[in-house]
Amino acid sequence: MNRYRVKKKVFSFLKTFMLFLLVVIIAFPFWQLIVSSMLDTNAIISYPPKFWPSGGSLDNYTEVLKMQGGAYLRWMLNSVFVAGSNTVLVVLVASMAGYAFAKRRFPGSKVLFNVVVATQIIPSVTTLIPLFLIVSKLGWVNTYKSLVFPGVASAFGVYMMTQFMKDIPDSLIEAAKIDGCSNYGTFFKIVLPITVPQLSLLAIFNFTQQWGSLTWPLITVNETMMKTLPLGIASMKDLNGTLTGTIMAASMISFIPLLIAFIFASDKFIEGMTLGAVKG
Amino acid sequence: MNKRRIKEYAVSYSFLLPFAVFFITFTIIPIGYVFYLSLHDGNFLQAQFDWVGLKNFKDVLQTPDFQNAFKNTFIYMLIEVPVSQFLGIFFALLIKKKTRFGHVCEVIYFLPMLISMVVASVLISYILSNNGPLNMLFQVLGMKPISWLNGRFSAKMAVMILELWKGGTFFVFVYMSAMRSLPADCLESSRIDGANVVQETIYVVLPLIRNAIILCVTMNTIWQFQIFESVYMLTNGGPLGATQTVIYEIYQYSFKYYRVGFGAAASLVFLLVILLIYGLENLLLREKDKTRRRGKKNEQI
Repeated sequence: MNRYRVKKKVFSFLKTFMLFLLVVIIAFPFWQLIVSSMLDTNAIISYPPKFWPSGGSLDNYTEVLKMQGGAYLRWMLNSVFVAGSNTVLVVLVASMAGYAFAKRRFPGSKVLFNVVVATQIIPSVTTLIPLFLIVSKLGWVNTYKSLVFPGVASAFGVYMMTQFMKDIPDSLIEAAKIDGCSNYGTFFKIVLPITVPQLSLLAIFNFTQQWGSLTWPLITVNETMMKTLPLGIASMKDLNGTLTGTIMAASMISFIPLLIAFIFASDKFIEGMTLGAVKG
Repeated sequence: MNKRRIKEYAVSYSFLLPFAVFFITFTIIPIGYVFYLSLHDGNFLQAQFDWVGLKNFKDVLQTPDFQNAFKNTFIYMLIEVPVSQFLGIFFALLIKKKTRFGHVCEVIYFLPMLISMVVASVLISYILSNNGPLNMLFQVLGMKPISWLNGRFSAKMAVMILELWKGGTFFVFVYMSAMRSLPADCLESSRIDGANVVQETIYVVLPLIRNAIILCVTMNTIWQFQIFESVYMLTNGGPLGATQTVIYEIYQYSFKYYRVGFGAAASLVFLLVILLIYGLENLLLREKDKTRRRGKKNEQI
């Protein structure tokens, strides 16, 4: 019995140790980001690396905010606007389509749904070149339109919303109809409000993806003032790829908005980001 | 009656309309367009595309850059996928029981998913830099420091470390939720039968989360096939093409050398590979259903 107890204790110690080790591996780079964002470039690239911002200052941060005529603030605003308006559109458009697929009957419903689901398989790179040609023919290069609209065609969003809408009891929709609610009234006044928890999951997922997206902005934007945060930070790297204090500070600031949101709604974030894998 | 039905259908279609507009413009038309482009030659500056037949596909398969990129991509996939799946299952097993400490771990494990690949690459390239913390650790342990981004293999390792750090914990969460939804009686009965932790994991837990494993392996494989941002940020394909990936090459050829037809053909070849992976996944998932059905039949007898 005693041996069993010792074994159990050793086991639980090892378990805690492994979990803690992974915590260190994940958290340490973040700590180093905070430290090095307060150091000057020489201190960052010299040996030994510093683990505490002694002699540091917030100069990098003020420099980031001042550089290229306030470009950083513009990138931040661009990111907020692009990710925000894209997310609003995705949630609205996908929930309308999801409602139609899940709760309404019409010819071709199954076929159309299957077509939408099937396109999820196609990797985004396959349509990248034609998409750029279409966007440039529309004259959208270097505009918000090109950053916001192509992403609204989210097959994943429609698929998720269809699954969510299926859970709404039919009786509720019928009751609304009997009470004299119009078709659109039923959707906007009854269905949308009760699916807010699920909508917020899709919104979190979509916003986080858009906030960090690099590939599409890289192709369709080259004006400094139209860049989003990831593209802007990527363009701060010089040819040698030297890490400067300003890049560190810029990365740090770009991460703060999502971090604050995450602190307030960590469970929602975890649920939202693993949405596709768990429900799909 | 008929009129009312038509009106009902019209309302249904009107709910679909906004999505349909975006979907047709930005998904369906581009899919058709990419086939057209792959059979033509031209660049973004020309308005005209000349018919060249299957020449682009032949070029893609014969270009050394692409052969190299496919080879690299397979290397990434073959190393990263097993490692991240093993770690994902391992840590999910450790963390699956809900505890306070476990919850703190969960929150921290989630952080890499929150940041963009750009920020992640800044973090990891600092950790891996020549005078960075990892090389300091190596020196303390009496090992030689590594100049990560300059060696052919070590640069590949660097990309994989970044991918693993950024995307690995995602699978911890997926496996964790799969394990938490397992029926408690299965685990209990295995305990009563005297199974130890290792036996329980291998013979009870893993077979029960088989579908989650297949799903995660497929997802991870496809992600690894689509590596682009990490390579773009960390190495730019270097040194000497050692870290080039298929998407990186497609990007280079179409948007740096403006060979649109060539890029379109390459992205279709890429699509074919992705479809093969999905086909394999479906095959595996269907096999499971078959055995399950067979098992049920036997029970009835």
